[in-house]
Amino acid sequence: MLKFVLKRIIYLIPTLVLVAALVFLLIHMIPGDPAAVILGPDATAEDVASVRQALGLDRPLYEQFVVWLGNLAHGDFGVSIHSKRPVIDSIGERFPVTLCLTTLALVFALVVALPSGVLAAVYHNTNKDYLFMIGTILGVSVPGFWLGLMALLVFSVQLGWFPSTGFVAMWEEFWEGLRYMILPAITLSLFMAAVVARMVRSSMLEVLRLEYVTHARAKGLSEWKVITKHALKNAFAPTLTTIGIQYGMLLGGAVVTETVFSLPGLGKYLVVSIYMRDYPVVQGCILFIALVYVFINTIVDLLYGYFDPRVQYS
Amino acid sequence: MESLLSIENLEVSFHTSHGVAQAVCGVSYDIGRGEVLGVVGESGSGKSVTALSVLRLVPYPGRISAGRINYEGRDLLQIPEKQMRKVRGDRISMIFQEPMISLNPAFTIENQLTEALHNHRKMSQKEARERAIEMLALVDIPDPAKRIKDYPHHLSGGMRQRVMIAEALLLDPDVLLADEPTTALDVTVQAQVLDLMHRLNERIGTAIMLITHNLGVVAESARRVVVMYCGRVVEQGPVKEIFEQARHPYTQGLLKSIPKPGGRGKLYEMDGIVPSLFELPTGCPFNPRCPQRRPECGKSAPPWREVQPGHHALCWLYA
Repeated sequence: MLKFVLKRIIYLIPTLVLVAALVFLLIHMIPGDPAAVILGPDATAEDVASVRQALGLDRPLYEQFVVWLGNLAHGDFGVSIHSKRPVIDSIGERFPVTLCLTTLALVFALVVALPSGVLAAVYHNTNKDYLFMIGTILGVSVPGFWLGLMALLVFSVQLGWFPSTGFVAMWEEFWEGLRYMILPAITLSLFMAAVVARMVRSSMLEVLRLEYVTHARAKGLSEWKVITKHALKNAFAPTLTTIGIQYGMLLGGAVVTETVFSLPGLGKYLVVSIYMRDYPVVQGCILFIALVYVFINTIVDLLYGYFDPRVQYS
Repeated sequence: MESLLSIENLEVSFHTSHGVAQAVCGVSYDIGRGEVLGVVGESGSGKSVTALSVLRLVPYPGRISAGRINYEGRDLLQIPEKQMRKVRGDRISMIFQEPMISLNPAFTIENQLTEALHNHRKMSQKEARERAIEMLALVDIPDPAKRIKDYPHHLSGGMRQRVMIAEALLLDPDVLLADEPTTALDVTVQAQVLDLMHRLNERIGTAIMLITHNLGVVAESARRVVVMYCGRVVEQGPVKEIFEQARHPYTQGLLKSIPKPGGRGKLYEMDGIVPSLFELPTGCPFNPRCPQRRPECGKSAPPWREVQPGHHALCWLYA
């Protein structure tokens, strides 16, 4: 088990270097100059040149990359061009918001997806199942930003149930913070809920046909026990993989959701930093998100063994 | 022998998009207390569906459309589901063909064995585990206290089938429905498992309905045999008589197709193939393949006649 984890961490290094290279190249390919953004439209060419020199932007691209990567290896994410603060500090301030948002969204998605997927499989080919399929198609096709705006319009502006702007941290005031998080989290969760529910349904359908399910019924177990114990544990293993992959979609979706709901999370910070051409922040944020994603999927792989004991960690 | 479980005129049909398949068509037979009854037939002859009907577990889209299953003065097809659950696994249990897929891969042997005990007897975990270990020892699983912590994939096919048998017999059921229990096993392991079932039958007194396509298995284990073809019982009688003097041409064909030790020459082969359940021939379903066909065979269903005391056949030859 420990060996497996260590191996996973070693495999992680090339993945992250690749992500780092891609992020670095992409952000530098976008036209625009951070020095020009900092100095504003009236700056002279000499001023811009001196700022560029101060920021090290005049050096060749590969040199900048190597320096950045070298610093990363020491855990140094660099300093924001704009605020002059260490990138890692800014990430540390904003990531908890994104973590709250994505975790809540994950919880909402699972609360909806697991029972509805199981029920759809149990009522396979009936009206309930068809209704479910229509619902999931809507869930995957409705764009998050539109849904967020509509939710704000109806539940915050019209009905006044939830605040439309502002933010209270859940770790400071839990219930009040939750009020600010519910709409964005539900909006964000919808896509994932639909994808996971379909996965639950199809793997349940597969498992329910198997002989050990008939065997469980032949033991005299109640249908509830047969489904929730014998079928669901087996059907959950493939679903877990989907959840891990979908968590990446949540992190990506958080960028849009945080912007729509003005939440001070990592996603919104990333968008603002792209406008500012704040290279170290953009690179740092994306790399950090990639790290979180890989971390979540490592946990998924480790959990897999619980649902399918045939999995060997060696 | 006192009848313990009797199936009367059972009809099971499968409603699919291709039409209706009559998987079981008017099947009647009974099993006595402590008896080993062999049920023989090819795949699709309705033998497994009949067994599943006894537990009311016919898979969708199958439906039991008529018949009675009498057990302890009740018709199992009529009692409420909740009462039926008390019968399943407790009074009547079942083991399946593929021990590789009939045990749940996600739970330990202990979990799966003690589950039935909790469910039917409300035993404590400690008591249930002791009982399970005792049962595993009875089915000759070495070091049962250790093995009980294993997952099914840690065990070989033969061991898993022993676990299945142990589980099925945990609550001393009256009837064990054994659906091809040895088919998926190696020949040597087959003999061990059959021998085990035999010993347990004598020791615990559980009646066994031994479903198989292998006449050899029946010859060794059962006292009486039911032969099924296309959802019908075509012949029924004592094992010895059926082997020496089979009456139905289908049974005769089956017996001739068994390879004999030291036998030379080509093995007997029945003409034709088993018809589709969607398009059964009129009259006797065996008539297109029957070497002794008569004009009436293709016209109307053959009669069920006693050819000797306790020995019946469904054939126009004995009308």
